[in-house]
Amino acid sequence: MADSKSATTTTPYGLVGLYTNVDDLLAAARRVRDAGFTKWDSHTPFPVHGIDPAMGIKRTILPWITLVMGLTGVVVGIVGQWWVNAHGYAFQISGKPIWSLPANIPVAFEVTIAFSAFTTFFGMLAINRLPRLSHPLHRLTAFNRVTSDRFAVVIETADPRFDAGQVKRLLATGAESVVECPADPTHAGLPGWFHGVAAIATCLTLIPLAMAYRGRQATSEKPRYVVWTDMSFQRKAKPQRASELFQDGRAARKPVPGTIAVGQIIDDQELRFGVEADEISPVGTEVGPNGVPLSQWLTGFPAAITVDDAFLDRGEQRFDIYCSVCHGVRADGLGSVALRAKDIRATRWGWVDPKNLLASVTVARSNGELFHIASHGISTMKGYASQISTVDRWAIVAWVRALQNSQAIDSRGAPQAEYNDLPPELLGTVQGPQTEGGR
Amino acid sequence: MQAHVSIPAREQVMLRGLAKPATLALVVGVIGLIATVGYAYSPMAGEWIDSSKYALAPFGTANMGHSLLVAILWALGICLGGLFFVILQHLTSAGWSVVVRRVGEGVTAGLVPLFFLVLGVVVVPVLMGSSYIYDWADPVYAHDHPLVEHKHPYLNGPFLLVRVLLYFAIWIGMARFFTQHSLAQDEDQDPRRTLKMQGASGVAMVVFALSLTFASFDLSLCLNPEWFSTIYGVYFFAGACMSFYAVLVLLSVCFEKRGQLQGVVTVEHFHDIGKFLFAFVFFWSYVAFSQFMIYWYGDIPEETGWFHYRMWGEWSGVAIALTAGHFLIPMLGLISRHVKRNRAALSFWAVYCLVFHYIDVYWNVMPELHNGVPGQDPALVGPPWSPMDLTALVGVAGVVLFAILKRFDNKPALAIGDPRLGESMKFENF
Repeated sequence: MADSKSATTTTPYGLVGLYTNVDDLLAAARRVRDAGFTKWDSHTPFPVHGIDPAMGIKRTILPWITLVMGLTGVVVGIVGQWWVNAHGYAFQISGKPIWSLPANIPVAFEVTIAFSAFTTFFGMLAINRLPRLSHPLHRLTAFNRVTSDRFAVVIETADPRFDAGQVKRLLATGAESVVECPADPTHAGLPGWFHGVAAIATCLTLIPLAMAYRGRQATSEKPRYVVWTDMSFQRKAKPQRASELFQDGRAARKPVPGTIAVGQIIDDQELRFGVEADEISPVGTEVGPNGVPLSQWLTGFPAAITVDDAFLDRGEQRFDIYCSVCHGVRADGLGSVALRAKDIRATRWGWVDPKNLLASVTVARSNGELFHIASHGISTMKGYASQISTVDRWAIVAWVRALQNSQAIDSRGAPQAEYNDLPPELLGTVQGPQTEGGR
Repeated sequence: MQAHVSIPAREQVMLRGLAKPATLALVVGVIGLIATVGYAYSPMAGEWIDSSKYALAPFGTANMGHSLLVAILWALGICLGGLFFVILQHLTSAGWSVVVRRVGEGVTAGLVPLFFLVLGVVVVPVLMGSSYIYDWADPVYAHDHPLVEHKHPYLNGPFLLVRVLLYFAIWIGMARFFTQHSLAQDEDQDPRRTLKMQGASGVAMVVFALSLTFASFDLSLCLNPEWFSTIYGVYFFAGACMSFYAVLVLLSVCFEKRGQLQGVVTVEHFHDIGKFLFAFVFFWSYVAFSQFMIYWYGDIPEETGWFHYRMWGEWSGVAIALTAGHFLIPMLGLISRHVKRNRAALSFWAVYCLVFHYIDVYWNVMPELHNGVPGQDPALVGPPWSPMDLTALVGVAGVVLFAILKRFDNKPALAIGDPRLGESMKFENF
């Protein structure tokens, strides 16, 4: 440190050739380039075309660094979102896929731009060794005009080829003057305290990360800590909430009466209503509880539907999802909700027990009527038309019929031959004729 | 190094002997158009599986109409891109581009044959009650689709005629204004003409933007009259500009090879045109994705339908090809300055962009050939590749090229009277 200080106070920084026009500058730059100097530079009041080849400056590698960082940005943007949405916090929302590429493109794009722009900006500073708080040339009064109407070529004494006499001659051609720039006694680097502050600031940025890490590892009884409340608690209408804005107080608006979503119109009376195709109820005929004449319920299945194994499987699946909680998986009316209601004697409050769908009253209903009940409800049961698609409701009807048929078999009356045909894993579940009298 | 540019003599930059290639282009173009129509009415053109299309048109003519429309929109994009380029240079008072501005002015000559093509292929059949291209032109279809019937005050034959006349009057009028002042300036070197053109360019740009937007609605968007997209005009514009810059590269290289732009157009100009080509590749992708993502996120059936049969089923290959071929591949291909400063490499990417712009227009127009036809579904039928696609492209491109070459013939290949020509010739990138 002491050595360099004493050296700089004795040796000047370099020699400055000042020119009045661009052509002289470019000519001087070419001479210096050809003479093989390495520690030198040109200073101009505005960007000068052709200065790069005149000075023999190679193209910067900055674009390549930017490209690499930009591509890194794509990867970081997409992997980061994938990690948050599909891995770290994989929440199912409205049955949407937990991760989908199109939603990630805008953020990936922004991250790419951010990485590229910051890399270009800070890379430019780093490659140029900026910022410098002090420079010897700034202390040279003759250099001031380089910001308005002079052009300068500066060769540093630190250049291994530096020779005061030769350099002076090299710069003199076409020059207005050649002046010596004294060394800068001040420290050009950032002050010491700056590094300390920067180090502390860098450490502070780790605090949010540490908090996030702790939050992922630990459990807490307290409600979550909300930094930006207006993000989490927006003044907006949410479904199933009250709203002061609308007269009826609902936040969720009902569709306009008669609204049918695109592609959802079913122009098939049998399929849509469970009613015989050509029988529109005449006025005055006997009307069932649901407003449709009893005689007109479809007894079979709509012509548009084929009842096969796949259809029954679909019906079983839908029945187990939507119906079994009340009616039980065997349709015997003993679903978990029904059992709980029995436990707490819910009939006190007007609860109506779910029906045993195997009972003769349900067996006697036509398919169309069952479909109608599944769609629009009966008694305290709500309609499922809004949740289960039309075809799926028919599948449920088919499955209920299958359950009624299978559960109605009195196994004790079944022929021994058929009992023997049962697969072994079912033997324990069916009461066979030979078990009569005790095992 | 700096001030040593010599403005070339007028005789040196004159484009001569273009009459022969122009005639050749016309002959090829007319043969292409005749072949397209001939094929459409031949038994080779095929039939609808269910021939009860709303229209009176048999399959062959409907396919012909769509093939011609693809070629027309492709060429119209190039010519409108040229008009945009000319207006933009005046609007920004650009110095660098003076040496290639004449090329843009020449390309706008293609608007004249395109006017007759649009009139003949689009407007007159609609006025005659044919819905061989546009479903909305069929009263039965409109009656079955209340949303389309609701748009009747806008979507009807006479008003379409008025609008098309207005668009082309605006475009051809503006193209003539800028071209003729520029040509007159070659003679009198009057710098006031430059100021006059600059003064007009602001209004011209606004009028251009509006007319292009509505024209893209009328010619392309309305193929599916139930769909709507306010960004569609920008989408069409982005593809149009990209294809024009590709043509600018090719014509500039061509005129440089022929000698008229020798020593005038430099690698610096190609670098800049290449930057624009790259920028519009990216801009197209940005706009195309913006249009897609809004609808994808909203997920409302009447909005996603248009994308649905373009992205799933048989058209999915084209959609993927566009994502890769209209965005990723040319973006990586054009990103390097070495490519933009290399005439051969830049010309390759120019041709490439023109090909993919055609595929983009095809992807926009062709699915509508089967959409809305009872018993037909674009997602199941897929791209109806037909020889008419090629003959229509050759026909339209030939006729348009004829008009452009005719315009260039016996004219200087650059605006030698422009006061900023010297500035342009010594232009350098940093």
